[in-house]
Amino acid sequence: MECPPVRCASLCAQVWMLLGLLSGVAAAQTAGQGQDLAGMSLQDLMAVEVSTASKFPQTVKEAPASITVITAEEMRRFGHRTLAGALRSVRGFYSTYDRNYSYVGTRGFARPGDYNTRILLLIDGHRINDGVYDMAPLGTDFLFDVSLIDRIEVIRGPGSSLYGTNALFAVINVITKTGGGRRGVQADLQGGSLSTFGATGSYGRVFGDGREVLLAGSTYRSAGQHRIHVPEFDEAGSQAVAIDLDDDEASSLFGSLSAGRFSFRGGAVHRVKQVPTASFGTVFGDDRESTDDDRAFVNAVYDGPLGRGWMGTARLAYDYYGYQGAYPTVDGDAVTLFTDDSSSHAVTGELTARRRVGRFHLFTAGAEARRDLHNHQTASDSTGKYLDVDVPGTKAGVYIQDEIRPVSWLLLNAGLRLDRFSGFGTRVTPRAGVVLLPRPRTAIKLLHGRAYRAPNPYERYYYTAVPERGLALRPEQIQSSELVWEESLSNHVRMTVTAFRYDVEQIIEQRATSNSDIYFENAGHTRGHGFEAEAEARLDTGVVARASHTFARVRDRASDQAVSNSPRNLTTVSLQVPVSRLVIAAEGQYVGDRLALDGSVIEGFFAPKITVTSPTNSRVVFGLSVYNALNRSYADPGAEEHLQPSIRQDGRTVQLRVHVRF
Amino acid sequence: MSLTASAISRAGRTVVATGVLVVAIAGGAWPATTAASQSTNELQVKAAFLFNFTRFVAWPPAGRPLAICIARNAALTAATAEIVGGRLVDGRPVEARALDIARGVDGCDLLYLADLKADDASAALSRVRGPVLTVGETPRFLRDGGVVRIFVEDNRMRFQVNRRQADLAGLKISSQLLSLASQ
Repeated sequence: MECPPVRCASLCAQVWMLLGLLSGVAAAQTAGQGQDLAGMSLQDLMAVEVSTASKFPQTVKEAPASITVITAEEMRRFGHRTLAGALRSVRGFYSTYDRNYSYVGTRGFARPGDYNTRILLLIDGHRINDGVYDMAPLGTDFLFDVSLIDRIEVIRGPGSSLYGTNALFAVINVITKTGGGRRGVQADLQGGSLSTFGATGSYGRVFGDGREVLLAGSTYRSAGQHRIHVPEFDEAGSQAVAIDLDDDEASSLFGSLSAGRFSFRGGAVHRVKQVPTASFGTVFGDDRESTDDDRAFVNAVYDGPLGRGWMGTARLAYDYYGYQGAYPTVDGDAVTLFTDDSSSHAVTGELTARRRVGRFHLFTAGAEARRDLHNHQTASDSTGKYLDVDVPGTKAGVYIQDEIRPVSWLLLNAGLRLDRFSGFGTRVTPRAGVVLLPRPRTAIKLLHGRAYRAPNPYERYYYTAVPERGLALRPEQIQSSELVWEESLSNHVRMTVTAFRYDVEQIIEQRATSNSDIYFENAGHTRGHGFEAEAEARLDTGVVARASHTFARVRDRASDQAVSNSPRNLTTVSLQVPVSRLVIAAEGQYVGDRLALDGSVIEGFFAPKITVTSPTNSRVVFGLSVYNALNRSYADPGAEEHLQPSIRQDGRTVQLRVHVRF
Repeated sequence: MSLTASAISRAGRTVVATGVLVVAIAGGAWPATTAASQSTNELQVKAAFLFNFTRFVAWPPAGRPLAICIARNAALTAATAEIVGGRLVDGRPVEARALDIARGVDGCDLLYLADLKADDASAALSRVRGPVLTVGETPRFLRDGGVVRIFVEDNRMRFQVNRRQADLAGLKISSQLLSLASQ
């Protein structure tokens, strides 16, 4: 596709920023059936694949990165409920859930206890990872319901050369629907197993002058598992069963306004989760263990000419993050409630400018600064405060990127970003890519880059049992190389093969002392290498089949031991089949054996889901999903804060989703 | 800490199974496409779209052929002429012709302006009077007062309709077309 509807300019700008390239799925496939086009109805014509004879010479295929795009239509057809669920469909990605938050790993790298800090999450180009924990919220704690997502762009590989910290393994940009994309009053209702109910309402409007407005609100509640048996807490003669301790509630508001070259966005979410796992040494079965995450942001973006032939994007944003955790803990003979309270308020400004220089160069330059006005963490119980730190700080970065296309079949891309952090000095992150396009259907990419992540205030200050450890933390960094071969075998079939290797050095790892006191340290060097293969076929009948496999061998360099939560084999298969007016879509992921933190093996599993959806051209659209359709019993690894090495996941659940346009 | 032998053999089977699946997907569709090597390009689909649009408008009666005027795109003009040849809309023959924007837009029922520079397209839009279905491709086109925007998404042609502008132009567009439009 050249560009999605109406808000093209700003969307394009965002991917420009990501890659210095244009946005677009554009697998540049020429469809061809040789039908009598004049005799075809518009509906039929809309199903014909066309070659995007793009006015813009660059497409995702030519991007100096390996990119996957998940569209709203795919989200709907496969019944994805969260970002983590959607990302599971992406080659090389897997997710884990500890009955509190959802975590995503890629290419065999997902450290237990990592709050998605090695993935940069963006909403329409705006950074979402918070200021205290660096967390990317990928579950029900995300800022809005998935029905407001227009598409998700997943850009693999290190992205720090443009984005700075956190962009180690991938940049995930969630692009929202606009007022035109959700016109009028629309509602999405969901309900199903585990006493789950959710509702999203929105109002969208496009004014005659092209301004677009969208306002949306959501509420979600799931009672979760009624009964969770955790054998690790069993005592002689009695089973440890958490009853009705899995409640998950979230409510959110989101709004956007675009007016010509300016756009404004704002969102807020409040999410409370009961924690049934008795994590962090809390009392098993106490209904007070819970986490409360609040996120809010507003931003204003200008996207347009800057004069003298420069195009640019200017962005001003305010972000809030607030967290409260309640942890009932044994203190002598009594149980006291230990509470964490943290918050950050930050303002960010960013300016990116890009321009064609001469015939061959596309030059991008930018600067970004973020000021944490407050970055506050406290920990207390009824007797007083154990921790009270506020560490306002400033981060600033400048970056440049040049893309050179001396001949039509060769594209060279090089970028460099320089960041300055209060406390850590300066980091330089380069990235370089060579893209060869020997034939219209072939792209071969050789990519190399570095990225880093600075220790966050949580890692530095929170765990006071061993305070000098936190303060001694240094940024971790990744060095990554990748060879990508993308080929359209025909008009209907495309495939991708990649080989990758990465080295994460000075990796910031969660550890626990013999007293179970948690701390973080820069712990050695992890190397991962492997390959991925993916094939996708889109047939004229509407059948879409996709299969991918990732083999990743990830080891600690010093000990040469396999690391935890790293499936060596990861296979994802999906199939969409139209049956009369419905579409049946099945998707499943085989996650190979993983090691738990205690060294035990968590057996691999395959827990496919099936969704039936009705056509979208009516006022009421249904989607019925059966998750873990085979009712497989499987588990995800726990982290240091868990006594249990693995945490059992949901069995078969059913959900109905109804979309109504009024 | 290494994986058990059975785990590895299971993993091996997965690799083989995926390989088979990948080959099956790739192989299954291969013959289908070599047989249909006659490729439909964007141009022809676009031409068919333009013709189709005319069928969803309640045109005021006029004693002349229905004219699809295409600015600065001879290839599309030719492709459209081929599509509309011999066809009737509301009992009127349909013709496709190249538009010289300097000579005005009179006598055009559908105006395709996507290949004009943005400023020229805006100028042309400002000169349009009466029920003319204006078609462009940029998001700005709808903001500037165009009626229909066509674009490619997921390798398929899509379109949007600026309903207010259609109203202002006095175009009666069938709800069937509106229901197919992207929101």
